Amino acid sequence: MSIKAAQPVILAQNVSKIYNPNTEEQVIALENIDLQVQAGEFISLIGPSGCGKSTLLRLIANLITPTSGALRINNKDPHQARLDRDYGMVFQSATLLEWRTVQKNVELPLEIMRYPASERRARAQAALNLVELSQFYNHYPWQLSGGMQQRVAIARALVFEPSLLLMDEPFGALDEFTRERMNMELLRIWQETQTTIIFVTHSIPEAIFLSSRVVVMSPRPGRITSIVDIDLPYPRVFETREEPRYFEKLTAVRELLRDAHEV
Amino acid sequence: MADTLNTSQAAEGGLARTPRRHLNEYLPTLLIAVAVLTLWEIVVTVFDIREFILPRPTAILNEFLGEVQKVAGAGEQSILFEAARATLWSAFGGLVIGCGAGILIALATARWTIISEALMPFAIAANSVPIIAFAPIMNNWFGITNPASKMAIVAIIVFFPTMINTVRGLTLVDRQQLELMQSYAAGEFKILRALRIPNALPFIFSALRVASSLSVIGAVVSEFFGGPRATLGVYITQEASGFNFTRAWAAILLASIIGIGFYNVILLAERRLMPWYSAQRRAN
Amino acid sequence: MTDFSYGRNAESVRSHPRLVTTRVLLPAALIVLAIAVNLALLTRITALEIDNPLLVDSTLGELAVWLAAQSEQEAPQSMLGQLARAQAVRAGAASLDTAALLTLMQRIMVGILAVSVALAAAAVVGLFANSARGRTALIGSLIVTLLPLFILPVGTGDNTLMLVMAACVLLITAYFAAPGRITRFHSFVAVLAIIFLVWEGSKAVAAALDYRVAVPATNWEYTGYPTLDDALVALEAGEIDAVIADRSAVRDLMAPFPLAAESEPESFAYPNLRYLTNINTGEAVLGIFPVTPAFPGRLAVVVTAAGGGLSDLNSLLNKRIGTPTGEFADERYLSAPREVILLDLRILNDLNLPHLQNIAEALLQPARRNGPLLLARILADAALHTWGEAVLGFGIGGLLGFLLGTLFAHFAPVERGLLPYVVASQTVPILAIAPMVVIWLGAGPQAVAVISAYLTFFPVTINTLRGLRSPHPNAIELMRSYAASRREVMWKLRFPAALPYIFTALKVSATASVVGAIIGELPSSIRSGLGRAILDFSSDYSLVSTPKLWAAILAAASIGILSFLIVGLVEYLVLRHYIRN
Repeated sequence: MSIKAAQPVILAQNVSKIYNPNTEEQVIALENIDLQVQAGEFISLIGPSGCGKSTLLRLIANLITPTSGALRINNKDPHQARLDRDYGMVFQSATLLEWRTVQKNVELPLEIMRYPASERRARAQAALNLVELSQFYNHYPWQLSGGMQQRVAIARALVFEPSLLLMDEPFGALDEFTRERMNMELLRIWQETQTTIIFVTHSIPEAIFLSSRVVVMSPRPGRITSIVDIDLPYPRVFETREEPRYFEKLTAVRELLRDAHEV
Repeated sequence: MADTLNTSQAAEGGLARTPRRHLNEYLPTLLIAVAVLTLWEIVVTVFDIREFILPRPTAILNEFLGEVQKVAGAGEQSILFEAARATLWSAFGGLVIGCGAGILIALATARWTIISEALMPFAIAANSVPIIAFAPIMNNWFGITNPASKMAIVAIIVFFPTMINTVRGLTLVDRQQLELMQSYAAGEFKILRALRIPNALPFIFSALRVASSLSVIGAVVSEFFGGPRATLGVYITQEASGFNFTRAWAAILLASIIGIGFYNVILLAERRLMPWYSAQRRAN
Repeated sequence: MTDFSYGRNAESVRSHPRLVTTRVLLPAALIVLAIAVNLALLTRITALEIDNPLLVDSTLGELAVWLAAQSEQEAPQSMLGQLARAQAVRAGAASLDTAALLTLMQRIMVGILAVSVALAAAAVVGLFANSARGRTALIGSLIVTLLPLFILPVGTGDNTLMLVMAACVLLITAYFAAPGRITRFHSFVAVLAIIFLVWEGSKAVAAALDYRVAVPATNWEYTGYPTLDDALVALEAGEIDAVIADRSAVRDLMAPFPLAAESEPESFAYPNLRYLTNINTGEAVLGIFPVTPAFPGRLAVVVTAAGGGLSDLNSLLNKRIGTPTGEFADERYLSAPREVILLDLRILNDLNLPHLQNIAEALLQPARRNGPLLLARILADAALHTWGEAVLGFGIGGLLGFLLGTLFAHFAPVERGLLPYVVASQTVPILAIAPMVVIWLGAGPQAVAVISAYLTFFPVTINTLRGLRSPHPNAIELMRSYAASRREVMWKLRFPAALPYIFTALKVSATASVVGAIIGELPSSIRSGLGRAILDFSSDYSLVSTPKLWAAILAAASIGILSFLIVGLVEYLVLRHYIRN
């Protein structure tokens, strides 16, 4: 994939999302969001509950629309970006369709985009290879563990090679060990496909380990308090978690979060 | 790979269950059946209860087997089985029409939720009406001897539960699965086919199971309000009013068998069409 | 939707004055038209003479006549009759004046129309003032405008009912065209109105089509012969292919086809001819479409022995046919013009589907001619009687279901043993058991209640079982950690968790108990219930009793729905603190 250095993949200017505006039950989910994401970056959104990180992700995905402000994805209106299928999405739960096999689940977006059957099969197999689950192509979701289901969900999100991947706490339901391994997997996949990734999480170590930049958010009203550059080198390995610079970044982000939370 | 596959459950779902386990599950049921029938036989014999109060199970079985012989022997005609055939046809026809219409209407209205919301109170109200009360009107419309009048009653009886359940299945979709489809900019029709309909299948089958037994009962009861002699409802009530209770019970037995048969056919269809559902439930 | 970069939201669109007016113009125009129609009706009714059939044959008119008759009697049985008598006594007359009553009814009808017009006018005002009350007034006007459908009789050549339906259609369209949210109650009324309009509308259409959609069919080609023998001789000579004549005339002259075992064709007068006994003279001629006139059973088709085997009337169409002139076949069948009926609309005729007004009228008339009590009163009494039995059955069945469910939830082997029988019990047609229950318990309400309970207990058992098992294992472990006894776990945890499930089952059972009560009454020879009423009215297939049958069914439906609603209300009161969806 070529990297367009000039145009940001995501450009948000003064974006707000207000529920029930001008009424008593008004909720300001997001206020004055300014964010630029370049191609190939790995951005984490982190913050306590209610800070609007999932809302921001859904705004980018055009599953909800902003109340005000400008939002452009790949220099297009988010609605157009969704129609053009510029992004793949991974949810908190794997959200696989229980009545389809693993292979058919991965083929789902390709069916909707009307790829011919043989191409669908080939691409699905390639995606399953990427997440190292190809021998389970004929199993049903209930036969796989949680971590494996999430990997299938990732394969499905990447099968049509989008330039942008949106992930909403995808590893939240997994145990610590599985999660650390999934982090490594994700970094490997990111390196191989060079997609831009927006990753929502509430785990500080995970955010630091994975991202090139961490966006710290705070609630009431939801806003971005600061953006931290994580200048740890890639490829990151298991040992990266033991480096002193890792701990520095960890402490920095933790303190930013605490300040934001106390406000 | 440390990830575990639920292999043990998969194996359990895949392998056939041994005869031993089958026996264990059904043993209490069988024992109770035997116990009750024996007790019934003893009580009737010892207390010399007259046939019109409670016939003996052996007498009923005798009568039933006699009729079976008639059918098997290809010599005589068994009125009982002729009647059963007519009733089965009415029940089946009504089941197909009613459930088919229920599913089709549900598909049509689930698309425009405002229509299905407006129609729901009527569906629930209609479901609350003693449909049997319509039997005389159906007889008038179609003619008493026309099986269509019985099929119409059965169709109405099964239509509403099927429609209500199908609509519920089509609309009660996991929100995240819906968002997933929206993220693919999938059209409404594709969402219907790929998401809503498979999601609705368990609901549809649960309605079909109820409908299958309702259809037989509905057919028999509607025949009470008038019908040709060779139908189970008329047969039972005529034998009962003639105090031939043994024959009436034999007919009731046959009606039950038909009802249980329909139910099991639906169960089989469910297992074939939804292999993931039963296996998943067993694993949980 | 909106353009994000300017921050305008949907709110501001609503206050834009010009947009509001355009959206309101169409519905307002429709309502004004409806008002005009109603005013026309109003003037027409005001101008009616007392003896005009539109007034006298209307539901209210017939009621007036009956009231006058009742007021003559010393001690009328019904409440309305007593009221009429009291009124007559107060006026010092022997009876109430029929003419005066009719005038009163006329005024009532005018009043109804006036209220409808007033509400419609309020709706227009409300529309322009952008108030939600406008839509409520519109629905109110619709409800009142529907009333004449049940009051005004359908006369031949009279378009009064058409006007009423037109007004209703205008109001419904106006409602859906008007801006604003469609609430559930409003849409319920709208759908109900649509049902009534479709009922009367389709009857009107069917009547205009003479209850069938037909196309002319080719007639028979036939030759008349002076006598039957001439025709038969001509058939033998080969001049014609078939003869159609009275069956009784030909039966003794020849053998039938197919040949019966003992018959000897040679012994008959016409040994070379056969009359067909297995020709399909059922009505369907063109595929599935029946033809009129149908082939009457008294006729037979005669062919030569060689030419036998015709199985269908269609196969006679292009053949040369002969028949004796002057007889039934010639005058009533072969010469009558034929039609292929594409769609039989007899379901919509007055015998099968009475007018709404007929049903309303049947309710407000005595059940037996010149009887003392209105049908509405008789049905109400019957309904109450049946309902009592249903409530008893509901109670017994509900309790039994709950006990069984609890038993099954606590003792798994009992469940495994008995549950299949509980399920199988539902496959036994209740009607088959009913006579035996009557014999065991004696004819009376107790037998009916038991039969009703039989239909009620099953859903309650299944749902109680499911509900009692529904709490999460963690919650049960929590209770165990408090050393709670089994009984405490049951009442503090399982039972409250089961309540939503139990109520769902009770709602289904509420209606099943009514069905059971109606069915149970039939073999129990209970004279005073709805089951008997329905059976009585259905035994006579006539223009008089069919509306009564519909009225009785309406009564049965009402108690079914009422039972359901009452359980729903109790469910709401009990569960409202927990169910907040």
